[in-house]
Amino acid sequence: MDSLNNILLYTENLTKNFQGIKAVNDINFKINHNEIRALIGPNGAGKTTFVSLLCGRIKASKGKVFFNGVNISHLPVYTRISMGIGYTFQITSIFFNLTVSENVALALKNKRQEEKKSIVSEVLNKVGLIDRINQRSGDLSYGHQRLLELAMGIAQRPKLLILDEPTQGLSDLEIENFKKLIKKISATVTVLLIEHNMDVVMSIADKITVLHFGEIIAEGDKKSIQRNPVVQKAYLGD
Amino acid sequence: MRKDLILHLSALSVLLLLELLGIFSDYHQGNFARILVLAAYGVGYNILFGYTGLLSLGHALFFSAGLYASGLSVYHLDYDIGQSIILAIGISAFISSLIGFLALRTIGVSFMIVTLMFSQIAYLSILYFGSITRGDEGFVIQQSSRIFFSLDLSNPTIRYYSALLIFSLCIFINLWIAKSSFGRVLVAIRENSDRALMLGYNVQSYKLLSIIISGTISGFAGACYGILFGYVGASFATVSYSIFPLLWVLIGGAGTVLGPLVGAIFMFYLIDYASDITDAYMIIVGVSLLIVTLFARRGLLGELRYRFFKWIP
Amino acid sequence: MDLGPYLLFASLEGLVHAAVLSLIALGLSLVFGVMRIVNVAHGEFFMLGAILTWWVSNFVMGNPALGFLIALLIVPLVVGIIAMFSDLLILRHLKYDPEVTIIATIGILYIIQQFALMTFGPDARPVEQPFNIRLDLYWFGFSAYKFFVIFSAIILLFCVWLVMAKTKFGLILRATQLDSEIAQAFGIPISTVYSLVFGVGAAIAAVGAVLIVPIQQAHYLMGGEPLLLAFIVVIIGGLGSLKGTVVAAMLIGISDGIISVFFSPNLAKILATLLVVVVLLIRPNGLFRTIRI
Repeated sequence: MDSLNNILLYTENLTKNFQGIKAVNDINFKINHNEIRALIGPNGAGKTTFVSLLCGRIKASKGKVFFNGVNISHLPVYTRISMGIGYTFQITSIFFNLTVSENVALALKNKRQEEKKSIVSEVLNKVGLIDRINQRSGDLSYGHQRLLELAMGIAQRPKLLILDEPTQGLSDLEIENFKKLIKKISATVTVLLIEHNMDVVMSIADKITVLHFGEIIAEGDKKSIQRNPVVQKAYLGD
Repeated sequence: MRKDLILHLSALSVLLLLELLGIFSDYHQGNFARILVLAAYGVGYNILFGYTGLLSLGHALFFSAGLYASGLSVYHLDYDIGQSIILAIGISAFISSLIGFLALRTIGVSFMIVTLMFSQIAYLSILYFGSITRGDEGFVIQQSSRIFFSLDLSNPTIRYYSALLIFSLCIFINLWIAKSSFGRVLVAIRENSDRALMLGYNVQSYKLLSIIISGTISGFAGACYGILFGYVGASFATVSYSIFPLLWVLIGGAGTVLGPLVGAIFMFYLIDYASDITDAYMIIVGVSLLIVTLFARRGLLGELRYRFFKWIP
Repeated sequence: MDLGPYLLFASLEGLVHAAVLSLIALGLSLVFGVMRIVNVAHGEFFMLGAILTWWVSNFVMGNPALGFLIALLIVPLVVGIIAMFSDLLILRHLKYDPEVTIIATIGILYIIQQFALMTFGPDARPVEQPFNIRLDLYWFGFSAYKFFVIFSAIILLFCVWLVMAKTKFGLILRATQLDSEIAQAFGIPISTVYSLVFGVGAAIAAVGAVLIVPIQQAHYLMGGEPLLLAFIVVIIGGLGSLKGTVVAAMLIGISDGIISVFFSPNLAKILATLLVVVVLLIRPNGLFRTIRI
């Protein structure tokens, strides 16, 4: 299954030093097409740093990133994005002074006006924000803002969508809808999900990678991770 | 017709009617001609500050680049008006790309300080090359050189119409940008540049383009100012001329097309009035800056837009 | 005079200005280091120090040294208090948002400068030197007072270092600088610290003004140039770094002195700013980032 043309993204010895501290240390990571992968680990494990290295928000100290077989390590963020990497922020990061539709339209680069319109309503239909299309996004509820953030990620039509703690602060109902939504889009998109909510992880992830002190300490399907003593130790402490 | 287009066309019509119906006294006609060209400078400033969210403290550099490019070419090289303005546009575009390239290596507070310093260098250079620029004293562009297609630009009425035309041109460029997808990306960068980057926009090159457009409009306004009013001097390159457009834009409303005009009218008459009372009239600028920052961050049109008319571009 | 002695003369002149410049830059750097704001009105506090010195020296009859000493005691205090008030009345209400604060300090700049124009007038006015001794340096005579300026600046810089490194107040400043929220959680009264620092920063510049005004004359527009130079110093030396500030002030002050004597003061400033461009190209994001004292 891990044959080379099935791999969407992989890293070689990816490392990031912050003033002597190895936030990400020598990571070799692979993710396949149309997979839903969860990236978990205790606070400060280096999850956000790791995905930031993938999309180029931070420059790596060492190592390489390959996307669709191409070495993207030295490419700037906007090129990586246009190659098909989407990223949604941990902290709600939308354009608060613009309307919902303007927000989503901004995610659509190089599209004609009519095309934009139809994609915007299609995406907003999908996440269930179509009623609020003309509302100022700053006036939305927190849950709806998270959905808008997700909608912008989907609208980009990325090959790989990186979601940084998308369910943080959502209600149970919103989380259920979110899970369904991710299942739906995973038919066409590979999802890399940083998530603290284990219920979400266990119910949608195909495979789980555990990060601790900047290193991958375990990787595998749900059962093997749940049983893994190293993981339990990392979470529960010594 | 679109609401915003109606608004701006009617504002321009009012300015036209004021002249056609002879409502202006000579004094106010002259003032308004100046205000319109200065407001065009403010429009240029607003593209960078109001729409892109980059606060420059050195736009006097661009204004005086245009002013001196056209002024010197007429004064020393006998260029005609058309040639000198084209030269001024070219030079201010070149200088703003150079300054933009350097200054955009910094962000936030550093960007403000670096632009301030570059502008100060331009001012000192004008003084240093006094044999060409005539330094502090400046020089007068003779009436005989200020003819454009047999129109005498020193004639107050022709001057007013020219100023109105210049201003109209600049606000239509501004409107067009504000409505374009390019303009939307600028606003996105202002609102949240990190997010704009993660949506795949090359934020740096958008910022650079914004500086070039802003600097070129400012330079164009500077060139027109020198030619219409016949004087070129180093005072236009001082820090004050970088602060003025900031103040007009803040008072009128950052990121609104007509904001710079509203701010310029207000400040021009306020300073005009204060300078009758005291030599230290620039204290008005200081007080206004404090009032705007402490109590009225949105400016007049910004406040109107926020409260009532969401569609104002 | 031969080139050698002439160069020595120019360097000595430069050293005097470097001494005062390092005080001005230190004040600017201290305020940024602790409060993370750029005070564009800093040069005007310097100017205010100069014209207040003129007032004091005119008020005190008799020996000019007496007037000078009184000015040295009172003027920095008055300037510091004025600065604290502007922090209290204005900057505090802006929550020290970096960009808005800069705009507000530009406002303060105009208000102080124009107020000086109203009260002090547009003329440059001299202040008599506290003592008038000329040292014979073989090729040329050099005012002993200028050596005194250099000496005083060194003492003051040393005192600032001592306060920062060895006292509790210094510790509080360093803690605030590192993380103001944590400092607050440890019971440090942040807003009082900010007001004090803003006052002290301005007062240090005012000391520089008291020292320089017997050589330079007081004028209401004298604040602009030192502000520009202080920015250059601080960018080259690294903001918030005492050592970097002094080294950069020496470099800029002395080269400014030499170029001014041999060529033109304006050229000196143009070249110094071009140096900043070079720094920008080498260390693009380095400006205003190093914060150590």
